[in-house]
Amino acid sequence: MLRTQPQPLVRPTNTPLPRAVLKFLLNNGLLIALVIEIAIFATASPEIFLSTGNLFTVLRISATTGITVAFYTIALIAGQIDLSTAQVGAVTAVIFAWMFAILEWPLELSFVLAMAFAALLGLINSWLVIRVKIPSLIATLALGTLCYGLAISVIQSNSTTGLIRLNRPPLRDIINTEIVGIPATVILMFAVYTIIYILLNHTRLGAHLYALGGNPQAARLNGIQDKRLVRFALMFTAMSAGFTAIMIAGRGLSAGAATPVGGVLGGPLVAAIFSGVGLSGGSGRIERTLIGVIFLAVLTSGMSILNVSPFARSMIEGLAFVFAILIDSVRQRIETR
Amino acid sequence: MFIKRFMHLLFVSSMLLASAGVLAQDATTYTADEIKEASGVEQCSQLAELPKEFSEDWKLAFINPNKAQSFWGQVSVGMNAAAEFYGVEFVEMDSAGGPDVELFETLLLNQPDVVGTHNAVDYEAVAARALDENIPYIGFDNGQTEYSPYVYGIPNGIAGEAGAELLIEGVQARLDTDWKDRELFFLEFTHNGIPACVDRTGAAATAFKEHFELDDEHIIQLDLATGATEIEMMLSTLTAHPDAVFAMIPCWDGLGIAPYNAAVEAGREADIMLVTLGGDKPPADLLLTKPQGYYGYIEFQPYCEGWGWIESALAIAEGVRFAPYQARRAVTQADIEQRYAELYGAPSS
Repeated sequence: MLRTQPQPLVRPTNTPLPRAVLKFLLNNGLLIALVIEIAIFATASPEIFLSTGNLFTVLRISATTGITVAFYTIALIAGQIDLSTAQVGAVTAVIFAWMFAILEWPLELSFVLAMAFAALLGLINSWLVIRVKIPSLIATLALGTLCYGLAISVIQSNSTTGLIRLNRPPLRDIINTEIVGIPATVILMFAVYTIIYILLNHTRLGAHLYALGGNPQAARLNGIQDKRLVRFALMFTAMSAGFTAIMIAGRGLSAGAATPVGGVLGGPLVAAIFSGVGLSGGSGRIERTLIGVIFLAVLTSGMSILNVSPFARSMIEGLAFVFAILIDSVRQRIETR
Repeated sequence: MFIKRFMHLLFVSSMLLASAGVLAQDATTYTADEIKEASGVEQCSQLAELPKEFSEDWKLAFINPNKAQSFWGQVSVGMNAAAEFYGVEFVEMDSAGGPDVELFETLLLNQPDVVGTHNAVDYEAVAARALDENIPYIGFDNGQTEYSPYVYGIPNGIAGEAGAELLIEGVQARLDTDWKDRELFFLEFTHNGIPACVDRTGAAATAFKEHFELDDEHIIQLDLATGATEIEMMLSTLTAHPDAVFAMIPCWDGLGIAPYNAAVEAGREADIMLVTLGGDKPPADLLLTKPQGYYGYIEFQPYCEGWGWIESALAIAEGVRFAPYQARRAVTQADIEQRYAELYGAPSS
C-alpha cells in the first residue's frame, strides 16, 4: 500500500520531456507533415518541384482556395457550418460574367454589384439562421441549392455551352497582375490571413467569436451580440466565396455553374477540418488553416508533377486526411486532460 | 531496233527510279499500315505522315482531366503508346477533375514544345497562357479558340449531333412499326455543372427536336447536378407518362445505361430507345446482348484519339499537315459482334 502511494508524485518529474515533446509534435503536427511532404517531393523531382515557378503555382493554388477557407474558419469558430460556399461562389461568378461579358458593363461596376449580391446571399443565410432559427447546416444547404438553380438559369438564358466566356479585356491582365514578381492573389491571401490572425487573437471581436462558438448560451448571457457575430461570419464567408469564384472564373476565362471555389483541394469545409478547425465551434487557429491549405496545395502539385495514378492519389489524399484528423483528435484529448 | 531498246531502257530506268522513290519514302516517313500495326487491335488511322527521324528531340505535354475515368484512362494509354512508338518525350499530368490553368504553370516548367488540355471550363485560359509563351497549343475535343489555330478531336456539339443522327434512325424505324401514333419524348440525361455535357446533349436535343418537330414540352432535360440520381429521374418520368415512348441520349455511356436498366426493371423496355456516346467496353457488353431498347452507340475510340493527339502535336512541331480525327463510328446491334471481336476478342458464351 505504501509502495504505490508515492507514484503520482514521482511521475511528473520523471517524464516531463517526452510529454513536452509529444505536445510539441501534436501542436505542430501539420507543419512537420508539411516539411516532410516538401522533402519527399523535392527529393523525387528536385528540378521541377523546387523551382520558383512551382513555388508560385503552389501559392496560387493555395490563394484561390485559401481566402475562402480563411473566412470559413471564422464561421466555424463561431459555430456556423456553411454548405453553400460552392454555389454562392458559382452564382456570384455567373452574375459577374453576365454583367461584365454579356451586358458589357464596366469591370468595376460589375464587380461591386456581384460582391453586393454575394453579401446579400450571406445575409439571407444569416436571416434564416437568426430569425427563422434554422440550423446553419440546413439553411445554407437550402440556399446553396437555390443558388445553383439560379446560376443554371442565367447561363442557359445566355449560352448554349454551359459557360459564359470571360475573355473581355482587361480582366485577365488584372487577375494575373504581379507585384514585384509575386502574383497579386498570393499577396492578397497573406494579407487576409494576417488581418484575420490579428482579428481573432488581438481583438474583442475575435474573443467573442471563440466564446460564441464554444458556448453560445454562456456567450449570450455575458452580453455578447451573438446575432451580429453570426451575420458577420456568414456574410463574409459568402463574400469571400464570391470573390474567390470571380478570381477563378477570371483566370479560367469562363464562368459556369460549377466554378470550383474549392479549387483542386475540395470544398472549404474539408480544408478547414483538415487544418484542425473543429465542427462544434470555439476552436481552431487561423495560422494552422494556412498551413493546411498550403499542405493540400503542395500535395496536389507534387502528385501532378510525379504523375501519380488517380487511384494512388485518392488513397494518399484519404490517408493524409485521416492522419490530420487523428493528430488533432489526440491533441484535443491531451489538452482536455 | 535502237528506238525499241532505248524505250525499254527508259522504262526499266523509270521503274527503278520510281521504286527507289517509293523505298525512299518508306524509309523516311511512317505509312498508314505501320501505324495500324503499331496501334494493335484498335487499328488507328494515321493522321499525319511523320518522318522517322525528327528534326529535333520534341517534348510534348498534356493535362489529362481524370485518368480514373475509363475514357480518359484509354486516352492516356493511347497517348503514351504513340509517344513511345515515335520515340518522343511525353509529360503527362492529371488534374483529377479540377482546373488546369494553375497546373499548367507547373507543366510549363518541363519546357514542352507542344501542349494540350481538355477541360472545357478553362481551356481558353490555358491556350492564352501558351500563346504568351509562344508554345503551340492543341486542345482536345473542345473546338476552336481564338488563342490557337489548331483544332483536334470531336467537338462536343458534333458528337451530340452524331448521336442524334443514330437515334433518329432507330426511332424512325420504331415509329413506322410498334411506336406508330405513340406520344414521343426526348430525354436528355445531362449534368448542367459540366459544360462539355451541356454542349453535347444540348446539340443532340436540338437536332432531335428539329427532325421530329417536337415542341419544348416533349424535350425533357434530366439534370444529374440537381442531386437526383438518373434512375430516380427515369422512373419518375416513366410514371408521369405511362403511355408515352422515349428516345434517350446521355452525356456519357453510364449515364444512359443505368436508367435503361431501371426502365427494363419497371417493365417499360419496349417504350424506350437509347443511344449512348463514348463506346467503352461496358456499353459494348450490353449491346452484345441485343437489348430491345438499346439501339447503339457512337464510338469515339479513346485510345486512337489519344494516339492521334500525339501525331497531331508532332505534326505541328515538324510543320507537317495533319488530318482531322474522324472516329465517329456508329456501332449498332447489326455490327456489334464484329466490332466486339476486333476490340476485345470473341465474346464468351
